[in-house]
Amino acid sequence: MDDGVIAWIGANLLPFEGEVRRWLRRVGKLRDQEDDIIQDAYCRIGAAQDLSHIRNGRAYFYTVLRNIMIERFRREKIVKFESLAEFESLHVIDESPSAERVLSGQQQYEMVCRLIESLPDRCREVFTMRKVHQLSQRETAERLGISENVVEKDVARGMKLLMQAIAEMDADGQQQEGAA
Amino acid sequence: MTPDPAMTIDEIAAEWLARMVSGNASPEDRANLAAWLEADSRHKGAYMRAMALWQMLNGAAQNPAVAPPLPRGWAHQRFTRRWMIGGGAAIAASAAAVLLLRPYVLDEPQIFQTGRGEVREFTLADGSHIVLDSQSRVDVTMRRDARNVALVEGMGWFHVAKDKTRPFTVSANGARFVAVGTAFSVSREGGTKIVVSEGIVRMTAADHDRAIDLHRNETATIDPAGGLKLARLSDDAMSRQMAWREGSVGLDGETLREAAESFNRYNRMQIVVADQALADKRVVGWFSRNDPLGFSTAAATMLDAKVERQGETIRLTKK
Repeated sequence: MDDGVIAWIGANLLPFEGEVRRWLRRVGKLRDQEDDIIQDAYCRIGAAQDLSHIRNGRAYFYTVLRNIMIERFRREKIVKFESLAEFESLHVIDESPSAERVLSGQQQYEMVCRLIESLPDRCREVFTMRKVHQLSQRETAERLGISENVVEKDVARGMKLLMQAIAEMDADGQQQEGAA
Repeated sequence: MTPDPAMTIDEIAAEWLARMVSGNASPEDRANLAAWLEADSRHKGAYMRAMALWQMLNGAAQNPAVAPPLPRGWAHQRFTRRWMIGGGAAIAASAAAVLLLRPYVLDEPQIFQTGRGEVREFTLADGSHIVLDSQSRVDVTMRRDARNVALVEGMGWFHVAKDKTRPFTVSANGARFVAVGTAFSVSREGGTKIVVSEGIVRMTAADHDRAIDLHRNETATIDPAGGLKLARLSDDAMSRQMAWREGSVGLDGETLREAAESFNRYNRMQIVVADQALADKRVVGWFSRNDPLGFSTAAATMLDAKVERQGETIRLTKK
């Protein structure tokens, strides 16, 4: 795994995570296992050396999740027929033309800006300095007149919020209704 | 860092991420993180997700020349855009911890990018030069034993400062190009393409085990399906390939559609080829990148077509 893979995941999978999770809830009825399944998917995708042949990150995301779920269904032994039926119907989803969607640079930029803008006050300032102005943690602390320790805490707090936001987001960066 | 056991995996991953990008991670931190990652594949996935998010947020660092105004509510101070990010993640950990962690440690990359119509040269800390084509971006990570450049968007030409102890690797679409001291360009539009202008570059395509050495004037194209094509270029063809660095577009039998796309990358004024058969016609020549109208007029004369201009759009149609 290298920086290129991380960047690829950020550009091609994260924007679709909210959508993918909603699908997972619909077909899987696995709310309690949702985070596990998503983490498992990222782990598998991140372990792949070669992502260059994947032209459609969103469809690939679905494929990996489908495999994970099939494995889980098998392990559980009791087959949930209703889930499997919906499961099969999934093929329709990723063959559709809209599956070719990839965010343009401008859309990605706007999505990222909206994410940072959604953070509470000082958190937002910290992320603005770290990410928009690309300042180091030490420089950020100096500019804001706070300790580095506080900056690190804000980064952690902001990341927790953004990880939740990503989970509830539409591909165009809009928060879903009723999202946290 | 000792994670609070009441936290979810995602929350712990966020704490680790914050520590690792702080620039203050200790060898002990790195060893503890490695142990945590090894303990459970879900930990790896959550941390990977956190790293991808942190890196994605770098997308907010737009070149101010092309960025729209910041949305309301943003921090008011404006700083001069700094292309070089200082220090960041110096690695001073014990060798064992580093090896264990290597795949998961995120060294914060420096980001270099250009907006539409902008071709720009950047100098890296090691003395290497990068010229980025319009609407391109590279993420550069300098390590003690490696110089890694991820071509995230567009096209770049790399003039690599000699340093045998730190190979200079450009990765694009999963393919890797390694140079010690040499010059070459890589583009990632519609497949990955490399052109070597000096020295030797060792290429490893994503699904090929064997590395291939490319020499001066040689080019390789990897199509999206993984197909590999090698070719030798004449000096003339070579200059056309490198023309973009001097503000020109060098066309060497590209289709009119491809040529229009090249101009459209640089200019607000967009060329639209309305006719399918016309779009497949091939064109040759040198044109100034900033003159889409001049190119369209010339192409129309060559191909017996008609040029219409409406506002920011140039339409090429059959006569």
